[in-house]
Amino acid sequence: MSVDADRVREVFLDALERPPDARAAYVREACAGDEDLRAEVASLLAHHRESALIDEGESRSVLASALTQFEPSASAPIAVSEPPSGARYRTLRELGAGGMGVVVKSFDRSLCRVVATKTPHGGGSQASSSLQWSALLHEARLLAYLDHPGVVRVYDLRADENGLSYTMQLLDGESLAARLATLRGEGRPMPVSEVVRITTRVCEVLANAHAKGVLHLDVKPDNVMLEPFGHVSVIDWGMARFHDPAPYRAQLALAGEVMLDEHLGGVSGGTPVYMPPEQFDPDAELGPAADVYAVGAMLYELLTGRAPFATGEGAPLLLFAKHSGARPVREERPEVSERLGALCGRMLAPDPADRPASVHDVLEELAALTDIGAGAAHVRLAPGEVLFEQGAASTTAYQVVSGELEIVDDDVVVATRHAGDVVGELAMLSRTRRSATVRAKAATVLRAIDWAALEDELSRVDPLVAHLLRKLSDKLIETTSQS
Amino acid sequence: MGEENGEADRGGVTRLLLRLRDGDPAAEAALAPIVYAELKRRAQHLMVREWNGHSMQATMLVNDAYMALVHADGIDWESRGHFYSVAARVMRRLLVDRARSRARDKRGGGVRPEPFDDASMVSLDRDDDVLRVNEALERLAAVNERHAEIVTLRFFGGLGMDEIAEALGVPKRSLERDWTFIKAWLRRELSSER
Repeated sequence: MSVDADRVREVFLDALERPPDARAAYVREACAGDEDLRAEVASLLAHHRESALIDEGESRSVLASALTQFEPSASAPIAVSEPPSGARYRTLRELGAGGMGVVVKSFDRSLCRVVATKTPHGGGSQASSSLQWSALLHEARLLAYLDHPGVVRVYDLRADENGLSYTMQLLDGESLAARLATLRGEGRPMPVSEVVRITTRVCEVLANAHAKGVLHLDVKPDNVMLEPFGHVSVIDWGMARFHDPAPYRAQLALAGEVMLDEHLGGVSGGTPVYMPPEQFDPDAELGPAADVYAVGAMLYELLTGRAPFATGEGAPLLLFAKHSGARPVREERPEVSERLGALCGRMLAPDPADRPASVHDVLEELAALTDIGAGAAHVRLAPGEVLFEQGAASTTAYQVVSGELEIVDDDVVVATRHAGDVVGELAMLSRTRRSATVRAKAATVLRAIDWAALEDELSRVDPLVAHLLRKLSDKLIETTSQS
Repeated sequence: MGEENGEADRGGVTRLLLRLRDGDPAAEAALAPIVYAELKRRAQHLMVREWNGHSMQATMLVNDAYMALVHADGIDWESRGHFYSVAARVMRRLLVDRARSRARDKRGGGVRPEPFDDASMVSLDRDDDVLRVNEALERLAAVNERHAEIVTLRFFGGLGMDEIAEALGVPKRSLERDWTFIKAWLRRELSSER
């Protein structure tokens, strides 16, 4: 065929700009007697389709997928359209659109449950770019890799005639930020036990991620979800990146795969108020200490009701403030125990080396906060054995766990003590010598608490209680030394 | 590509893309075998048998290859487009080679299938389609090279409209008109009645 290809294209496209019933006449006129040209254009026009809809016979063909994927999607908002009958997921409603894509609530017909489905902007197939594709793909793969109860579960990743999408667990509940706002509105602080519980859950999620070589890098109250029955999830891993790709490599190596993208999107940034100073530097090597800082900033806000550094400041001022250190928690909320306040302060250290080395260390410290009596040692006495002699120096008080003690003054038994009773406390607190001898009447087990263990206990209680006890002890020492 | 030299390849591919951008035609010849090896290796491991739509799988493969081979930070838009163009052509060759080899095998040509043919690859039962599209594209290229390029980028490289316009350096409006034409042309070429 000796027709001019450019001319064919030109006449074809011009004809399409005319109403369908006027096209044949136009082509005849434009071709001016060139019968080959006219036949070629007419044949192409016969195969033109106005819509993106696919003919019955084409629907199985490789061409169909090639053609439909190229159609602009502006006319059809993808996510809320009804999928073909028989599809596994039925869209219920749109939940929201974020930076990475659109999330809809859908119903899984096979397992009869409600799930969340995420597709790129503009739908998974049509106008979405390969960049959006890979972002969504990496997000789904990262969530699947993290695989932890505190991270949204990915159920299924699909590419079908509706495009690329993945389904995941639908989270129910409110964000920690919303909870804080409610408390603020009511003028109440969050109970310390609840603060410790939520922080512990968040640290557990991060401990799993860090062990797998992944940093979250955007921990903040907006990204913590509080679900019914006390469940806590950490969401929005869009900023996450590998600080140690080795565990992921090892997992992929099992399947003979190699690492896809160690940058995991490579988005740098974060939320300045919660960001550690080192994260302000785009070239800095970040480690788990970066997440420790963010959890510390969140812990501070949960305890005091406000972030450790003011949000109104510009980045340089904010950074300067972070390097100068936060106001101690106890100045904002006096009933926070010394130990919890100190932990929060260490987590907010401007130098990563001064923070707890890992979220594991933070978890241990949080667990220790509620380990009441952990500092007391056990002492066993045989019948007749002496616990202490009259006139001896005293640094320890004892509580009877089982058995029986006799208090002896000048060889006379003046009293007995049983399980739950305490002996030696006044001499310990007043730092005087023992006023009587104490011995076991039967085989006896005791808990012993010395000054160091007492201080350890006091660091975990309301500082007001600790203060009362210390003050009382000082007063006792003062009065007994005068007499 | 083994894991141990992955980083070396990454740097190498990134450099080749920059050379290509700066107008060195030899860079493409050096790039194609690396991309071919990577795509082929990835195809061997692709375990998404149930996925429909061959260009979806091709797209995913090309994406993953890009992530594995290129330092995303050090690369500009133009070079990214170059990579996808090269990868799209390579993917097309890969699919066609494979479809031909399987067709030969079905006819009892005595050619042992490569081991990777057993693994699920792009388009499982559509070797005929691949070959038909490939032939149609060869005919299209004879008429209009650019039109064939557009189809290759979209179909085998998974590029979007904007990205194709970028990669080919043509205005999007003109590309859309081309596509209207190409669609009618392809439908006619591939319609069974012809």
